[in-house]
This record gives sequence, C-alpha cells and structure tokens, in this order.
Amino acid sequence: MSKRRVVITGMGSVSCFGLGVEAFWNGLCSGRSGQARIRSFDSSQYRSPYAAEVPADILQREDLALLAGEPEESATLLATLAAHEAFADAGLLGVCKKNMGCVIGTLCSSSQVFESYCRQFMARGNGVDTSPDPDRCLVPWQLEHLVQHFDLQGPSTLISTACSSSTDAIGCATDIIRSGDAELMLAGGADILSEVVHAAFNAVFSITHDTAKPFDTTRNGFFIGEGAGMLVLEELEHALARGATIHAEVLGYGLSNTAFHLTATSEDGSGEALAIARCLADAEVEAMDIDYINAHGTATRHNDLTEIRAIKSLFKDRLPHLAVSSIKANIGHCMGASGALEAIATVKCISDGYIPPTLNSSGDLDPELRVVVRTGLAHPILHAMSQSFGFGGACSSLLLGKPVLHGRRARSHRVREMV
Amino acid sequence: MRARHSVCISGIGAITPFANGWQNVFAAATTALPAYSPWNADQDPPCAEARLGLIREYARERYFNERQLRLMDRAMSLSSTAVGLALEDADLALGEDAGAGDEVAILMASMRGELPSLYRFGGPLFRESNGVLNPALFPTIARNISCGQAAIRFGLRGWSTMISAGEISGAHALARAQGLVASGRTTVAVAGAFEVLSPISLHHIRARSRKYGREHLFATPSNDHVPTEGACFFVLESLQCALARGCRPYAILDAALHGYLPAGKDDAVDPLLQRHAHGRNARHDDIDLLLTGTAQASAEAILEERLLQVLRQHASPRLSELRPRRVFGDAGSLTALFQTAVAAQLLSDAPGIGGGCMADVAKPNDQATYSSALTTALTDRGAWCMSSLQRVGTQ
Repeated sequence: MSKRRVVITGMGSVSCFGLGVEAFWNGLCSGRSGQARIRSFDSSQYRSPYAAEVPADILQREDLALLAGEPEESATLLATLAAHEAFADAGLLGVCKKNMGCVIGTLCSSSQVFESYCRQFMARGNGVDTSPDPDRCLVPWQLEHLVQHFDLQGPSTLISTACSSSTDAIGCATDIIRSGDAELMLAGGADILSEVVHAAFNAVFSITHDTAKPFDTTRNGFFIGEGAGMLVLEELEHALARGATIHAEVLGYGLSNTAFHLTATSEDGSGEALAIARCLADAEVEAMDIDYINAHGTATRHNDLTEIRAIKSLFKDRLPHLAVSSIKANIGHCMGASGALEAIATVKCISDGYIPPTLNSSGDLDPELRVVVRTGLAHPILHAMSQSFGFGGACSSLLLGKPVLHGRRARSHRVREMV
Repeated sequence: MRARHSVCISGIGAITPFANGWQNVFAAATTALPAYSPWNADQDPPCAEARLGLIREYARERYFNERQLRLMDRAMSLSSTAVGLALEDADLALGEDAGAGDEVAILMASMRGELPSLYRFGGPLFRESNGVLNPALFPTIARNISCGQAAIRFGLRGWSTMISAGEISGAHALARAQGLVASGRTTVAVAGAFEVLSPISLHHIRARSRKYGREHLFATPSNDHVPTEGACFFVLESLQCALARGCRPYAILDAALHGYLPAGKDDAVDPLLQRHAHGRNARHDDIDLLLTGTAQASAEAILEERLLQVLRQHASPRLSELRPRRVFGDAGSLTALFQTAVAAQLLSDAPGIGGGCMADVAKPNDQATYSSALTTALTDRGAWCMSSLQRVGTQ
C-alpha cells in the first residue's frame, strides 16, 4: 500500500515586510532587511536596540483585528491573518472546515499578555483579578482562537520546541494526514517580539551589535524578528479532486534531540545530523538528490559552525551542487515562527527556481559550503530542505519538493492544466 | 504506507504528592483517598477549605548529583526523575551505554509547567523597567527545556518534541508517541507530562476558576478540583520488541483520536464516537473499563455525561467506570495520563483490586480483570481526546 502524499495548497504570511506572501517574497528577493530600532518597548538599556517588527499598522488596524476575530493577543492576530491568506490561497474561504485540524508551533505567543499579568500580580499582590484574561496568558490561546475562529474540529495541537517549533508543527500535521485522520490541515506558527526574550538573548550575547551575517567569519549574532507563516497541507488525491493549486509536496520530515547541552548546539553536529538523516529516510530521498537547504543560519558563533558540520557529514559528495542560504539576516530570527516562514520561502524558491542571497554575508566560513551570497541564484530545485534547531536540543528538518504527478515533475502547479 | 506496529506500554514512572514510583502510586491510589494539605494562608487560598497537592519529597538524587540539581529548576528535576523511573520500570538502563538512547524518542507536555521559571527569570524586568536579568536562568524559560534535560541525562537522541496545548497536552504527547512507534519511526518512545505549582501558577489557577465560575468548587470535600503537581511518563515500545527482550508489558495502547468541539456541542458527540469506533476498526461493545472525569466547567460535564450515556449503551454489560480525578486531583496535563496509567495497570497481569476509591461509589467495582479500556478527556476549551487500551494477548 503506497504512502498517502501530502501537498501544500495554500500559504499565508505576515512579516516585517508586511502582509502577505508576495510582500514577504519580494522583500527577500530585493535584498531588504527588516532590522530597525525597536518601537514596541524601550530598548535603550539593551546591548542592541534592534529587531525586525511587523509594520505597526498591522497590529493597530481595526479592520484586520475584526477580520481575525479580535483575538486580543498580537501573535494570535498575526497567525489568524496568515491563516486567512492561506485559506484564500487554497480556495477554502467560506468552505466548511470542520474536518480540518491545526498544528501550531510557537515560543513567545501570549508572552506580552503574561508579562502584563505578572506585573499586575506583583503590583497588586494577592487578590484574584481576571484582567488580563488568564487564558490569553497561556501559549495555547493561539491554537484555541484559530480552531474556534475557523471552526476546525479535526486533530489539533500546539508544539513548543523553541526555535524548532513550527518546522516540527508542519511535520506533525503531515503525519496526521498520512495516518488518514484528516485530509486537510493548517500548519505553521506565529511569534511576536517579547521584551523578556530580547533581554535574555542580549544578556547571553547572542544578539548582534551590528547586522546578522550567517555563515560569515565576522558573524556576531542575530536580531529577533516577528511574524507568522501558515500553510494549508492537503492529501494529494483530495487536492487533485478539487482542482487545487499545488505549491509543493511535503516529502518528509525528521526530528531529534542532541542530548548535548540545554542551549548550545552540539560540537560535532551529530545530533543535528540525526534530524536531517531521519528526514531523508522519511522522504525516501537520497542526499545526492537535494538541491538546496534553507538553513537555520542564526549567525551565532556556535550555530553556524555546528550546522556546517551537520550538513557536511551528510552531504559531503553533494556539496559542489548544493546551494545553502539563510533568510534570518532579512527577517530576523522569528523564534518559533521561523520554521514556518522559512518553509514558505523554500516553497517559493522551488516554484520560482530562484534563491535570494544571504544578506550581509560573504559566506566565507567554510569554502566547501556553497552559500548563496551577494546576488540571488537562478537554480532549478526539485528537492529542498528547511531545518531549525532550538533550545533544549530540539532539531527539526523538513524536505519539500516539486510534486511528481503521473510520473513527471510538474512544470506548472496548476494541476487542472496538468491533468 | 508503512506497516503499523502494535504499541505497548512497557514502563510507567510517576511522582505524585502522595507517593513516588508507579506501583507505590497505584497501591496508594486504590487504598485510600489522599488527604491533600491545606492551601497555605500566604498563598491566598480561595477559601478556608481549599487544599493543594504539593510534592514534598521525591527521589531527587536518584539520577542527579547535588551540583546537577542546583542547575535545574523544579520542573526539570521532577520530569527527569519521572522519566528515569519509567525507564527503570521498563528495565531499560540507557544511561550506562553510550548510543543506547540514540533511537529512543522523548516527548513531553505541560499545561503551565514553565510559568514559575518564566516569572522568576523575568521578575527583575517586571518589577522595574531596567531590571537586570540573570543569564544563568535563561534556559529555564524555554518550554521544552525539561525535555532537553531528560534527553541529556539519559542520552535520548531520538524524535523529540514538546506539546503545550493546555490540559489535553499530556494526552497529545502520548498519542504522538504512539504514532511514532506504530509507524516504525522509533521502537521506543518515552512520553509524558509534568506540572509544578508556585504562587504565580496558583494565582493563575484561581483566575481561571473564577472566569469559568468554578471557584466555589475549591470548597468541596472531593479531590476532583484540588490543584496538584507531579510528573507521569510512559515507555512505549513495539510489542514485538518488548516481548523479544523479555519484558512484561502493561497493556497495548491503540492510536488515539483527538479534536476540538464547536460551540453548541451537544450534537457533536455521536459523530465523535463514530470517528473513534471507525479509527479503532472496532465497535465499543468490547470495552469493559471506562476512565473519565477531566471535564471541569458545567457545560463540559453535561457533554461528558452525554458521551458516557452513549458509551454505556454500547459497551460491555460488565462495564466498570472509574474517575481517577477522585485521587489525583486537578493535575492539568497529567490528568489524562493518570487515567491511562490506571487503565494500563488494570489491564496488566498484576492489576490490583478493582480501582478502589477511583470507582463510582454508587457502582462499586469488584472486577478482577479487564480486557479493553477507553479513556476520555474533555477540557473547558473544547479539546477532546479518546484513547483505548487492550489487554496483551487479546488482539
């Protein structure tokens, strides 16, 4: 019996470049960076006052809040807007979605509300007060709002594996479809700039004091970003039957724990390589078939070295033909949402046959690694990977590809034309 | 499609306010209802009768030395200790052989387990805008850091994830672990949940209770609404592998089904049950043990009663019903897991006597053995999960 195949039929995003996947992709392709002085809190006391926040009007516009069902929590607002776009892209707006589920990945969702809750608790001491809403303080608020707002009654859950969260979420949603528990799933995540997290990363010197330069010998860290990425995943035959546009296929995914250190990546990259190897095995694709890797590429001293070791351990013979890039110098490190946004970028790379350059980088950290820098690369891509590594040793890897239909790679993603 | 493997529970590790180690916990749970301690005056109790289930003692040094323990928060040490107890119970001594844990998955869950450390770390910033944070505490605010701690201690480099979906989290982690083993991605998975209580989490629990009109329930004499903390972990294995290494599994764990109920939920029960029956490729009349009782708010209690009415109509005439909440209290993400643990114990070769004080007092249970159990979890946010277990040898 053949494995049920999972394809991506809708995408939506909110990023520092604005609303929508088009704005997101155009920002990447034009080499823009969203890094700017933080406006949402006083950052003057921190080593770096910079981050990549979403445009202020997105969080302030009443029409967008109404469209999103007034979630009264910023990450949830972004998630709902991105989900709305993904459903529109998939042709599912106004369609009953009660058999659909949702898997979300996030790190900082509801953190602003919880910070406010803590400040009230400290100021007032004991004495129960339901403001802010205690449910909005907890990270599942994002999931609960999405399932209620879109009436998603299928299998749904929330994953929080730090920076690996939404890559893991996409994999989990894929499994749910493969197992036959659903034909359609919403997967992705949203995160917002949290002062506590910004302060924390500044305190441990992970934040850059100038710009992020992934895979560059002069790299000195990242800046935090915020945003949301959502994908509609669908069983292939279900998508074909309704004439959906197929953006890409989710061929496989893999997870691991490095079991090395609570916060640092491993020395030799072996733990990280396990996730990548499991992804390849799950997809039944060889390392020699991979054309592009959207790297975790945080531009920290430690991560980039570890990631290179992990890549080289598995792709040694493929390196001359393997393109690698990171988009974190453009949009910042969006914490739990980074995986979903990077997956969308990877899908766009596949569909457009183009890889935007890794901003600010010379790519000179390892001469064997073919990092796309300075100018973008027109590059036909059949198989691409997106990987994320997080605190707690969490590693996740996703393999995407052009869907193969009737024994041929689709040149066009308009399935109705193909059939 | 990959061949599906039968998945068994080969080990259980638990830390509760009244006992540590699963066999001790089960023995205590079936002997007498725990007398939880009063909610201290300095923790702003909702009423004079309110109680808490706090863990005073557990075998902290069983797997860690003092230096290691000083670097951990309570969530990390509780969860890692319970993981160790589960591995011991399954007779899997992983920490001693390098690489032995490379293919062992670790999946954790918690509803609010990170709140104490997040509050502690962010405290200087919450008090004053230019407060200085302690970088050494930074790792503890990551929701999955306990997962990382257990992975490091026992060398677990398999598939790894952290679920944080409210009260249903523990059930989801177990369901996902079952799927990983069933699909053959891993032969062994450790899955479970932890909860820790602190002033900020108690304040939050009270705030939620007040929001849902349940504050008066803190005064009731039953344990159902006593906030408790603890940890509970399972070792899941393919049945074939477990039997091959001479293990005596507790029970077979079937695939779970879960979802969310819409507003106005009364008509959602029958389709939900049909989905579950279809997923199990079986009807419900083979079920002779039902474990329920995670519902909190009145709307969910009504829905749960409707669910139970349907199940009672279709289940075995010998059906026994247990409410582990009578013993384990309101344990957040752990509540559904304690249900599963009790079910697994009662399905095993050494079941114990009838469920004891978890039984409905109107229907005392004198059954000695069971063949099939169903656990149901419903939360006040609309999440539901149903999972079934079978006695080994009845497949």
